[in-house]
Amino acid sequence: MLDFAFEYRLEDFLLAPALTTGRDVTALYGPSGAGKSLTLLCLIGLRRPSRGHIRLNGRTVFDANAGIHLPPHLRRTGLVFQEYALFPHLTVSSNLAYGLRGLPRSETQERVQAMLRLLRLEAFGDRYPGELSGGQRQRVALGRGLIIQPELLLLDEPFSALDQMERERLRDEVLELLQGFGGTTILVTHNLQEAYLMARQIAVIDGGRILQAGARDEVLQHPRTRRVAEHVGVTNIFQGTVVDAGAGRPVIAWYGEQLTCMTSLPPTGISVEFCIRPEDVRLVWPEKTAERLNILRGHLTAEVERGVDYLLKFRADGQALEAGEIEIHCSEHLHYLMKLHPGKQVFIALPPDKLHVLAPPS
Amino acid sequence: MELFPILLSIRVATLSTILAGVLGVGVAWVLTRTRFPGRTLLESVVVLPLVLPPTVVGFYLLLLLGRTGPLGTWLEAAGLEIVFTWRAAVVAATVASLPLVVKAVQAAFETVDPKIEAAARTLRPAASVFLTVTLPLAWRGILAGLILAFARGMGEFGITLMLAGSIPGRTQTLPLAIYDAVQANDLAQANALALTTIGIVTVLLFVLSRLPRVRL
Repeated sequence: MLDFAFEYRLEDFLLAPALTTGRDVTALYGPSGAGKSLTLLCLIGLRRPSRGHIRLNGRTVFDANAGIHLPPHLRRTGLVFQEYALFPHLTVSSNLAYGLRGLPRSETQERVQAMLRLLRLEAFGDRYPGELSGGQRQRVALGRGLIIQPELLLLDEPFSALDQMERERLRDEVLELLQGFGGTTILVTHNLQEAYLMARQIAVIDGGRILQAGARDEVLQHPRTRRVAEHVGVTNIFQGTVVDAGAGRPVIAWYGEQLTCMTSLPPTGISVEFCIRPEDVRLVWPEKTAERLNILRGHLTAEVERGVDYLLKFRADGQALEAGEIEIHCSEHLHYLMKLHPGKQVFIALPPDKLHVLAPPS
Repeated sequence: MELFPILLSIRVATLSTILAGVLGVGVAWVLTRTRFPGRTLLESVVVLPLVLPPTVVGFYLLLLLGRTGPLGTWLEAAGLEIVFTWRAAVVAATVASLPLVVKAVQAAFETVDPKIEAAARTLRPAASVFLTVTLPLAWRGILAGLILAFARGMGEFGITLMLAGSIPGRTQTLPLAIYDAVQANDLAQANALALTTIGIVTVLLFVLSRLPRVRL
């Protein structure tokens, strides 16, 4: 288990992340400049925070108050750099063996051989990093971090230096290696899809702070604030007012519409922000509108063909026209079936269980 | 031909190269990898012998290391006599070649990717990283600095004259002996010594070029 909360100041930027996570893969997800890489440097001890603590499986590796700041190589933590940072003057085997000190020669060799097998690089032990492909280098970098049998593995944008094809292949390989690892992994990425594919937990970081952390679906479906919602790809964020629709059933009044929600709502009269993911907006056949709640009539204003699916923009008729456009993700199949095109009149449903109310900004 | 100046110069240049090498690598590391208030001052002081007239540098070294000088008194108490001994020639050559080493090694350290050092730092203590990653990666630049230092040590004239004098058989190095021979109109002697100098430096460069290259 990894548990940290610290502060590190870099000129005008204050990094102050806090997180508790178990033996699992956690994606530290956020935009460039959010403080992701700096967080890793503090966790491994290449940077020293001014306040706070870092504990790993009950061991304190950093504590500002107690003056504890373990040097990086004693933290039982592996770090894989974005550009791998392999030692160009050492062979693959020597790169792997670099962190194994104080072991008998035979054991070092055994572990290097085992790691080469695991990385499927048996034939490359005597090569130099300059003679390897991008993917092979990445595996060596990963192996160099794993061979010391760390309790915590830190991966800094591990796929950003690879092309698309290699990236997808490597993701599977890395996932496989991580499954065998069994410790705590923190994976830094600015790619939401990558965060989702690689990690069970997602921690959204921006402006030096972790805004929300939790199971990946929880974070994606139930972002706590508008800021998190925007980071995790929720493009439809609206403002409404809680009203009592009778029988103690609160609904959100929104431009003349009454939207039913599943989540518990704040008291009547409170203005709230709510959101829905573009992939959760349903296109409804005209004859089936009666079966659904939260139906809006309107027309499509634009469509973007995205290769695997369509991004549609919808504008409601009536008062809700003022609400602006609603984004919808729609499969190519449905797009074909419903004969969709910009300007077409359509009905959409905002499923009550997908409407999510955001906490007011603090 | 006199052998003494040749042997003395080889000894002086070798020792000063070692001294300037160790000091220079240390100073260069401090200058490239650390940030502290007096950094620019240190850099300027180290480079000073490169821009000041050798006689000026020699003069102040004389004051510093002389019997009544601040460092001289202390050294004499420790039983170490510097001024007007062969050791002074070593000091002179070291001071003269230090800026060359520092500049060359500084440039070499700057070519080492800090990320590679950081990666090494996550796996080993700092001292080991310096020896196993920084030094090997900067090796060629360091070697270039050491070659320059040796050549400078072989050729040092001004500072040596001020600090060690030109005592035949005691402190007279090759360049001083050549100067002496020319003054005495012994052109054959001067020529022999000059050719020897050329020979030594050429052989040295040849040997170094044959050393196995460090692959990068």
